[in-house]
This record gives sequence, C-alpha cells and structure tokens, in this order.
Amino acid sequence: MVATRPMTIEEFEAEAHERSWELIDGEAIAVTPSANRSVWIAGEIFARLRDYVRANDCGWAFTDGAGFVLFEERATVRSPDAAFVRRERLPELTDHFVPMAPDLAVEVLSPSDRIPDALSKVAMYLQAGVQLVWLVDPLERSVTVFRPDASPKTLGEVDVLDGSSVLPGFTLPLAEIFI
Amino acid sequence: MVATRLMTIQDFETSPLPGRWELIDGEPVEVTPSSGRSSRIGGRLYSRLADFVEPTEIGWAFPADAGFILFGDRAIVRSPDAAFVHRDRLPEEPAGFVPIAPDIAVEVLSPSDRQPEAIAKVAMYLQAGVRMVWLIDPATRTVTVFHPDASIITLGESDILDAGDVLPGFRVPVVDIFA
Repeated sequence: MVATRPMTIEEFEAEAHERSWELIDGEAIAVTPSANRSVWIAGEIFARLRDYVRANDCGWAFTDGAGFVLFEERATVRSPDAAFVRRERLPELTDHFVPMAPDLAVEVLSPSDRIPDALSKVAMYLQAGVQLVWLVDPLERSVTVFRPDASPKTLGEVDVLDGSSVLPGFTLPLAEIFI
Repeated sequence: MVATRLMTIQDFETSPLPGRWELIDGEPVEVTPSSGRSSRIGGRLYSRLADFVEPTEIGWAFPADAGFILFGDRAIVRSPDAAFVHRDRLPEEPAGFVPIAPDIAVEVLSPSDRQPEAIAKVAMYLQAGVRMVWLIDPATRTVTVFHPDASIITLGESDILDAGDVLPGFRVPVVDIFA
C-alpha cells in the first residue's frame, strides 16, 4: 500500500499508525507481517545481540519496530528485522526514530518477500553506511553477509556467523536458528 | 561523473556522449574503465558464453559494451560486463540497444567499484527480470550467484558455476574464471 502524498520524516513520526510502515523517499510503504518462522528467527538473533551488547556494554540492540533515518535528505526511514548501534554513535536512547543508520542490520526473508526487493534494501543499507548486513533466508537455511568493502558471502546451517569488526567476538552457530 | 541534463533513451542512443556511459532514471552516468584483470575476466566469461551459444543458436552473448533497456517505463540503459539473452525473447540481432533485460548478467568487480553500488546494480537487474546474475570478485576469487526467486550462493575456486535451467549445460569451473 502506498500513501498518496510525500511525507516528511517529522510528519511520518508524529502520525499514529495502525500497523508497521517504512518511509522510502517520502513515500509511506506498509510492511507486510512476516511468517512466524521468520519472526522467531529475528527474535532469536535480537536476543543474541542483546546478550552480547549487555556483556560488552557496547551499544544498543533493537527489535524490528525501530525506525532508522537512513537518509535525512531523502526522507527515508526503514526498519530492519533486528539491528545494532554502537554506543559511540548513539550515546543515549531518545523518544524518536534512531537518527542514523545502524552498524548492523538484519533482514529475515519471509516467503512473501522478493529477493530483488530484499537486495535493493540491502544496497540501501550499505549506501547509508551500515557496516554489516545479514540477509537470513529461512527456507534455504542460509545467511548472506554483506559489507561495504567486501563481496557478499553466503553461509549455510553448518557454519558459524561471526560479528566481524562490528561485533568482535560475537558468534552464532547457524544450526541454532535454523531449527 | 554525472551529466546535468536528464535524457530519454532515444536521446541517449542517438546523441552519443564521449566515453562509456549508462543511463539511470534519465541521468547519464559515466562508466569508469575496468582494471586489466577485471576486463580479462569479463572477456573470458563472454568468450565462454559466445562459444557455447553460437553453435546452437540458443541465443545471443554480448560483451561489456552492449546497452540493455532494463525497464519499459523507466529511462534506464545499463551495460553488464557480459550477458546472455535467449533467442525466444530476442529473435533478431538488435540494431539499436538491446530492448529487453538479459537472461544472464555478469558483473566483474574492479578495485574502483564500491560494494553498495554493485549490490544496487544486482538488485536492479533482478527487478528488471534478469534470471541469473553472476557477481565476480577477482580480489577474493569468488562468484556470487543471484536469482530472483532462490537463495544467494557464493562459489569458491573448488566449485563449478552452472547456469542451470537459464542456459542448460553451460558450466565453468570457477578456477578457470580466475586462471
């Protein structure tokens, strides 16, 4: 569903929404509810991120409701399925959208998602400065890791996902989320 | 380099700009020449595709400079580093730009390429209907394979790149691509 009038970030934030939306180049786009497997996986990844962040006191882990202002000048606010922001970049929580791109963005595909659109979202995250993107495909039981300075790399369920330089020491054996 | 004036596909085709350009939403964008290594890899893929398709007349192989009109309703002309179009979709050799998106698009990264733009280009190809994209990274000696409706796969030097049902029988050992 597409709203008819371009909106500013302020209007988008102030307006009450009945459901999840993202703002892309001023256009409000409804977010389709995800399959329960995808939501569970996103929650599990969030829980691991939260545990890591607490243990290392290094920032903030967010669930899928958080809006991130990816490009101020393009009026683009998007919500990854899970995300991490380093404390140096976001010293305190506020009552607004997160005013920057996250350091890590996680996208978990649902059967209704199209790969071309998911990749386009990944490209947008990277262009906005996200340092690490995990694209999780529950059907194929794989995770593709994208970075701004390295080629994509796909991991399977026997592999261990690591946090690279964004989350040093973070590990997640993928068998634990592809149950 | 970005020119200042928006162009139609017809303008772009009939009044050539000096050098190599692509047209993205009406905006001519100059294409930086490839590195020697990347150019040779693209050429090698083109040769393999041409050798495979020409005897059987199953379709057309194109080297790096062919322009493809990716969308019917957007002024976008892009040039993959090598491409294949099935003859069913393109019965005659086009005198002008190729009027459709290719079935296979090959992108070879150069040291000057930025990963976010490369992923955005892959996403655009898939949105335009390309059935298979091969993103080749000479630095890591990997090939990442994208389809619009299947998982992303990263191949290393011990793997074989297989065009599957897009071009049945076309197989190249990844090690040969980087030879």
